[in-house]
Amino acid sequence: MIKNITSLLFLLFPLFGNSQGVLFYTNSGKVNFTSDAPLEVIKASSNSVAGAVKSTDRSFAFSVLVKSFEGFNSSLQRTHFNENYLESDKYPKITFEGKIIEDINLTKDGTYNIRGKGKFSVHGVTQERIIPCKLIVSNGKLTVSASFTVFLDDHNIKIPAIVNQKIAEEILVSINIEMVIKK
Amino acid sequence: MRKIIFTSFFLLLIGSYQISAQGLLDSLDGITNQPKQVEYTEATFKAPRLVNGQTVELIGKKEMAVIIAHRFAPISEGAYNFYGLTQNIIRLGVDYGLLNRVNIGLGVGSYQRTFDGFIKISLLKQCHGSKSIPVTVVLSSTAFISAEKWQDPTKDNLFNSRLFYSYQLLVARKFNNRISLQLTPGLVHRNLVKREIDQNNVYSIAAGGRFKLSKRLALNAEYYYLLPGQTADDFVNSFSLGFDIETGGHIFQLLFTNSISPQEKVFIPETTHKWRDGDVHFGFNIIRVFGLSHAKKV
Repeated sequence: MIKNITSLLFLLFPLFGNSQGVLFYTNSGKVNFTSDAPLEVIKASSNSVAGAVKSTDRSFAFSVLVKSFEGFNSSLQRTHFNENYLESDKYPKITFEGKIIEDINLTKDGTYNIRGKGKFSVHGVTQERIIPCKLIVSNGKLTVSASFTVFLDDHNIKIPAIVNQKIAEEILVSINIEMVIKK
Repeated sequence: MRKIIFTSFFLLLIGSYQISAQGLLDSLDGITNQPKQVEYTEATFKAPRLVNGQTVELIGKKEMAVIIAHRFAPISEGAYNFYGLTQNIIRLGVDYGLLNRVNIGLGVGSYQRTFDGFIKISLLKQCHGSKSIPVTVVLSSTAFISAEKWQDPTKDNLFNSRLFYSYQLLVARKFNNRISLQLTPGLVHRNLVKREIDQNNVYSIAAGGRFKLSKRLALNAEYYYLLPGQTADDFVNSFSLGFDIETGGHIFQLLFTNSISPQEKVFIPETTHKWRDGDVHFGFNIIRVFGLSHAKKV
């Protein structure tokens, strides 16, 4: 009997392995944002989005350092972005953590239009967001792409009146994150 | 035995459950195995000038900062002279970001009709992370040409006599979001001095700092100490207080100083006014940075 149970356990172990599913990850996802204001267009991007997506419970987590954003129209503008608006010393990361609403199987190749639901945190203020994304699974790679907007007001980012013609209230964000399976 | 196996089986299940219940975000660093990066300290000071002197702050590559500096006559001149506001000394100048770590600049000052040209080179940048440097170090070298008329045109005057130089090593540390301090050993070299006993080389050491009062307002102070010598005997040390006021694209610096000109050649070895006599000049710097690769709307 004991022998049987032991062998059953051994049989089960690989099963546990399978039930873990796969974990996609990256530390070099791309994100860019545009502020399209009447007097000035500001663009910046980062190539160091860290992320993980689990196939078992379809949970995900993404994180990017505010200081990793480059671009802008001048280095002074980048300094203002870090010092005055995003306050990157106090709030170093922008994060999004949650679950995929649709019941999809990420271990199967294909293109999926899904909605990611979770906690989106910028400037120390967390908002519950549902963000539509396109997922492409192929050859052990997962590509996540999405565009969405972020209202500065939602995250308590104040723009002084003197520059409100130069900074948009609504920031356009797009992401393109390619992930591989964690071995 | 069977019980033990079932218990361990059960524990195993709970164990695996607990692992998955831990937030994915919290374990993200472990999963992605992101290498530790170097994080450079930014905005040690708000502007490339503290009050009169240079700071370790450099403007970015292909950016230009226009700096308009005004110094009024001493407040002690009283109401009859509008507390000095009717007379002023100016310096108009530009700083330009030649490379990421090299700035050059040109200026013209109305005091003694002095032109200046400088180069600032960033040698070390304060950072932490995968490497750590405690201070930012910048070398600044300025040449001045005085275009004043010769005092005695009949004499055999040399062009060299119009030249002055200033060399400074700027060493600064941003201690936290509010407090930054800078130590500046420096040398002013003058090719020609008035009297035989005057020093051609004047050594000084300066201490400067800023205290950020709010996101857009900072209090600055700087003190230039003349090392003992003839100059220190004849002149006084330059001491200045100022406020940085930042509005979107401009930085306004409102200041009080006992020096008449913001040029090193003047304010380090030639300051005569004393704070204790009330001979303090009100003044301001307006600094505007232009990105020359601007993405403007059509």
